[in-house]
Amino acid sequence: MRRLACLAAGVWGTTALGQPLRPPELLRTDSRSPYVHRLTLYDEEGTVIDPSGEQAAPYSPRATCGKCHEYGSIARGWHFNAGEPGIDAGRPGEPWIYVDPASGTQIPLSLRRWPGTFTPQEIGLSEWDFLLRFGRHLPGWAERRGEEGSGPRDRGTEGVAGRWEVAGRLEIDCLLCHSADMSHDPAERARQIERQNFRWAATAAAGLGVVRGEARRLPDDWDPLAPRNPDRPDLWPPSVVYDRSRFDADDRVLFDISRRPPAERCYYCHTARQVGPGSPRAFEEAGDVHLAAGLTCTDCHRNGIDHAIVRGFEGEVSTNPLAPALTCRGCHLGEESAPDVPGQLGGRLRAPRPLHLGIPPVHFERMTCTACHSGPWPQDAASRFQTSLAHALGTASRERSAADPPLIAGPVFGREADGRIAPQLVVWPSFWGVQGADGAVRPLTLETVERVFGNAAPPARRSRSGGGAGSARQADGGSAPEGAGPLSDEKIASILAEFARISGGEPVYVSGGLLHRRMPDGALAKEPHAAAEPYRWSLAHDVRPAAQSLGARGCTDCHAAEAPIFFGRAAPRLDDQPVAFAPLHAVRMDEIHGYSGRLARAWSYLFALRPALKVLGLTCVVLTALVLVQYGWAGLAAILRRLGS
Amino acid sequence: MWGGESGRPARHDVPDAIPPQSRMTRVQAGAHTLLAAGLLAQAATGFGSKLIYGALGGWALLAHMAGGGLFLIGLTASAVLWAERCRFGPGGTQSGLTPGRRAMFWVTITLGLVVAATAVGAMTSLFTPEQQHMLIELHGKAALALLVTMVPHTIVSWRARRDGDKSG
Repeated sequence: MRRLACLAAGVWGTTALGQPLRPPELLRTDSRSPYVHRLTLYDEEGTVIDPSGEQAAPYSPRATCGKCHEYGSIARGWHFNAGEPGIDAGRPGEPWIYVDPASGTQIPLSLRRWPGTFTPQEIGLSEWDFLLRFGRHLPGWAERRGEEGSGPRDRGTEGVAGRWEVAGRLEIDCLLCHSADMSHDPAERARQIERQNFRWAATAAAGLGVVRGEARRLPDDWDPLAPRNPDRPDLWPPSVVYDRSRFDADDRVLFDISRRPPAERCYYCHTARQVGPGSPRAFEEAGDVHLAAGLTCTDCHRNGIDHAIVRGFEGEVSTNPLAPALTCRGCHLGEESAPDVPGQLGGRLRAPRPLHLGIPPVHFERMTCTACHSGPWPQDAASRFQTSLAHALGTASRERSAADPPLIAGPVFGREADGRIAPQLVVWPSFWGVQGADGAVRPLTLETVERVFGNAAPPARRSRSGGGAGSARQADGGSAPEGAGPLSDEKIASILAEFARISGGEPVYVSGGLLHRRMPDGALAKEPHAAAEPYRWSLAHDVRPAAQSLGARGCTDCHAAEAPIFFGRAAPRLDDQPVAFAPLHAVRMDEIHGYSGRLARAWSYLFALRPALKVLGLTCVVLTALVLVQYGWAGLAAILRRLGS
Repeated sequence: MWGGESGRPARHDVPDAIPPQSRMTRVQAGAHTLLAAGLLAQAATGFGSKLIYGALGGWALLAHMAGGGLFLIGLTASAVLWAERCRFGPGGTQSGLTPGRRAMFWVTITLGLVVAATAVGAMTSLFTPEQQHMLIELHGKAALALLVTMVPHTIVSWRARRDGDKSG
């Protein structure tokens, strides 16, 4: 872990004899004092960069940082290993969401194959197009894919393979997380990705120089080795004008690097905010109690050089030995399965040990800690949420509004894989698909959908010509106008008829929690279906103070006739007009987590009598005890007398 | 029903053989019935649910909690109303109950108190979940012991009534 610096001795690769080298000997400081990263920059070929050169190449994090840090190992870390074989997908997390309001599409995507999501491939989204859409919040693209040229699934896609050569590798940008200098600009990186300037993105984001030009303007057959044609500056590749003031006399650059990055770095990708009526404005947000206590994200979400970062939920399968201990329970109560005694004892980072006086143990068996402690205080209806990944938060926009799709609702109380109830965010999938004989629904490709909806251009080519990463609203399919509603039944029926004509199988439309099917008479039938179930992922932050946890006011925070955890609406309370991507029927929380609403209501009635039951119980216990004491004393005295006589 | 003459009097002379203070009043019988009914209901919901589902939860737990009041009232009423008849010491023998049956009463009341106190205690804000877990464990064990105690008591009472003993 303390491999902070190295000399040129550390060389990857093979010897002249072709024998593999042992891992390079990396210089280390082995100190808690940070190493000062005053570094020589290297381009992606491993050549030292001369910032004064007219055609100076952009710096490569892989070549520069990789001199001392095992880039290959880092690239297998959690942030970069989605889609890698043999990686435990773990608890379902936030998906990427492909949105196209025009076609009524809002579909959760994941390379980890979380249940309820689809892979980009399944909807015909090439890796190239995936990167253009979502690269703005991808810290890098694992080396076996974009960095090695065309992605495996893109090889046969017309025009796409060549684009990788033009744009270059989208290397892991170490500074995205590890820069302690807030002048590192991830939004600038997003703009460069939108321009297809993949190999220049890290340089521009770090502020080492200004990048001129856009790779997206270059033709697919552009030859990077060809000399520049002075008559065709439009065919010149992007160039870097380095900021000389960032370099010292030996052309080295000081990088302000932290192994404990501030939370603000993480928030670029991990912001989730409540929007819409009643939502707190930025200055009203209290933030996470852990941050208020002086911690930062990486105090709990730790990793070694392998970047197997602890996600922090109980039961996490990880190569990180700290995973069992770095959970809510692990820090605050101790975790028996922790590998060391301190981990078993808990109290890490001065985590207070809660007493939970009077709370029946069943709550801890059936609910996660976050159920009571995390997310906004539950209301009678879930709120709209926007997240960095889904709504491109962190990139500047004048047009972003609370009504922007995708529609994400929260907090919704659902069950995790272990059966415990947790606060979650949900998105209702909405897509055109085909139902097979087994009843399963697979989505139609975007190209098929767009053909029917009148947009003939295939998505990959359309994205290449614009609408990339930085302009998130365009990249994600644009935003719905205020008050935009869902597709009408007539429209859905006519589109289904069109799909039936051009595709095999029975076309269906999944939306609003229901599966839509066109009947032989042309009418539209709507029915529940597993494919229409909302995709849910757990909401762990912000953690509220204990004084603001559910139950702080007593049992009736939850055991009441209208308690949100049971009877709240799982979708945002919208205006009277229908809103695209919202469930078509009111969904209550108990329908999501499956705890009987009738039983919950019965409990609420019983809890209304609970104070009286307590008084009755205490009275009975005291009276019975008095009887026992009085007669017991008399009996004992009689026995003693008999023994004495 | 905790009462009964020592020995086995002839059926025809029972009324004359029992002293007036040893006869079970209707109120005492009611208290005893309440306790027995409460105990059976709680055992059915508590142990029954555990036997069938492996754990106490859902509607069974709700019924168990709601039925607790019945048991509590029956226990307290029985303790108050039967204590004098089952007392040891001066006057204890006038009830006509054998020492064994009086001891059985006190064992029942003691176990019932443990059952009640652990249940009520767990409802207060005095105990941590771990302590509540111990209370619930103790609650179950005391309840099982109480149920076991009721078996010989029921047999003895049934035999006494069969033999015409009206004392309890």
